[in-house]
Amino acid sequence: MSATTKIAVHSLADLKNTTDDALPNYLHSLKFRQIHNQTDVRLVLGYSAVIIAGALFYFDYKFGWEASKPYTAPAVVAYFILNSAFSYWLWFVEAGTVYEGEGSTGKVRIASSTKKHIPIYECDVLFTPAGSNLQQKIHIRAPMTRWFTSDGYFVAKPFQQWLASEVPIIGAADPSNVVEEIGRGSETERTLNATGNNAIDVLEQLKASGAKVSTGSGRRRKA
Amino acid sequence: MLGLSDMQPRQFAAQVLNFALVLSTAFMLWKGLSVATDSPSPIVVVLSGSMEPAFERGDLLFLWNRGLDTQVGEIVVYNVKGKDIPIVHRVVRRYGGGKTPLKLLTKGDNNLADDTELYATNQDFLTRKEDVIGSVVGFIPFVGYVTILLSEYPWLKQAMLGIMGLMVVLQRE
Amino acid sequence: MHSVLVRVQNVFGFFTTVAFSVAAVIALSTFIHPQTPSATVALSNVQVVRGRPHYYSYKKEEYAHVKFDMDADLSTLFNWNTKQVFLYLKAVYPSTKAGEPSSEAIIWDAILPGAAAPYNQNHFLHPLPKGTKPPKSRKPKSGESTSPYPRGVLKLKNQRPKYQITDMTGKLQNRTDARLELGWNVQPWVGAQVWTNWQDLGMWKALEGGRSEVFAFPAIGAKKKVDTSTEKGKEGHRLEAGGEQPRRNNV
Repeated sequence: MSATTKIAVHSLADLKNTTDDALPNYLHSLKFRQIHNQTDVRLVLGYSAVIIAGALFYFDYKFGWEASKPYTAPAVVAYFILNSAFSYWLWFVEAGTVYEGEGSTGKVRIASSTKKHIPIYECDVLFTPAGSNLQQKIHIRAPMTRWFTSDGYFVAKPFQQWLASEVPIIGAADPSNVVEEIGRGSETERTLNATGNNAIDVLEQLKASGAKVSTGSGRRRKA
Repeated sequence: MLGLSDMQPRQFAAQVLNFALVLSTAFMLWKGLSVATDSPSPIVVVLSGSMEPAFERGDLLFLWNRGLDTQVGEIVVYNVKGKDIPIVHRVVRRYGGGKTPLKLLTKGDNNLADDTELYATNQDFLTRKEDVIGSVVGFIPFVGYVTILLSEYPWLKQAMLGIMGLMVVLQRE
Repeated sequence: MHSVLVRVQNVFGFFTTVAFSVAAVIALSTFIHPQTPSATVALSNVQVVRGRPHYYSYKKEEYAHVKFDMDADLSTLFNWNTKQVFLYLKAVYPSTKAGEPSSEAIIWDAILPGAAAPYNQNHFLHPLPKGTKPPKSRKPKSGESTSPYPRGVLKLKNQRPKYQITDMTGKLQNRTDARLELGWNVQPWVGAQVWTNWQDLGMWKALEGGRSEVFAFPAIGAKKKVDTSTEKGKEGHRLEAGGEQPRRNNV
């Protein structure tokens, strides 16, 4: 699934957008079903604001200023309320979500971001493995150089490998892409919300979903 | 970046929404300003040279229509009854203003005669409430010249809107 | 900066921001510039005539011709943001209907240019005191003052008005309690328009004087021919095509 279009490598926005576009495509190919609720709410909010503006425009065009004066003030107020709601939804609730979906191995929600002028693709991933209702949150990041060639072509394979290796649910659905070493090495951080009670559960689930627990990283302590 | 074909319908709808929101926010800001100043056209561009040297063609004027007791010496914008051309001139006379409606006579600084000839037939004075759409309170030079160009060359307007539309829909920044 | 287009956009955006901020600073700075305007206005002569005051008047009506003396010092109104000062003298007289505010009519105006304003034919040319030879006629350079007094100082004696005044009712003779009042409109290079301040406003002192004594419009003069010629400014009979069109095409 290589893209055939070339993008400007120096444009961070282009890099991010291309990567964002590839993500749903990949997950779709793994038979994840995308949940569009967030997008739908955003479209409804946005378009209702636009419809109000359009209605006022039409009314003003047809009947002139004097006739539409009593409607203009409430319409303006309603528009800006809806617009603020839209912006709030976009900034705080959606917060950069690129994909939200459900598959055989669990639910996953991915929000991507980049820091200004730094070409590192960062993702906040919230996932719930199938059969449990324990939501995990991890933050993964990788430089964009992993899956873009220097002339600006997107190569899907390393991207898929990265996602599958980092996110257990995706890895469970696509074990062929789970690899130890993906191209150049990089830092990955993970913070698991493991408390004292469910630490054992978390570890068991991770094992079951196929994440490679690194061995030999330290001496095993007998419990 | 320019691939329209591999966009899904929802994505396309979101792109169009962005463009529509830009346009509607601009329109609603204009309408909000109209409501605040109580004037159908709160910002006007000077179209003629009849107020030189104070205003040149292309200057941008900010209007306020809530001061109904217009004084002599203020600069008002009015529409001649039956015509749609706004005229920016200075008030040189006023009569009434209590129970009888306020009547004004205007004259351009650069005109030899006052505006009696420009008013509708049998109209010797403007009525503040009906004819005047606002009084000038602020001024920025030159900025409005673009709108004069747009109105004199209408194809420019279509071209500009078309280019802007294309750019917003196809780019995603 | 990955393409020329983005660079151009960034430069243009920055330019706009800077220009806008500079304009805002200039506009606000005028309010901290101190002003102390003062003027004395006196009536010199007033006549009421019955006739057709304008070429387009279709009926005879009474009109008044008011000559005045004025001594004004408005030099402090000029600052770096002043493009011009539109000075006007208006006659204020009570209305025939009780309870209505006074009627007002401008009888004379002058456009005083700011220092950096380019020359315009409408700029006020101060009449020269008797005995001074007029300078050789040439277009004055921008900002140059052709007046014998500094910018903003006017001394006028027995000045003829620019406009005759008529009343809506058509009757002006024998009306009492009329007054002459000075006013101005400062036109900035950028920012808010300002008119006469009769109250103190921060650094701006109120106008001192500026009102004449109360007078009455006399009865229509005896049969002797009166001189009611007005001062003509240099404005053209300019009603621009597409902008405004005169209804009648005489003159």
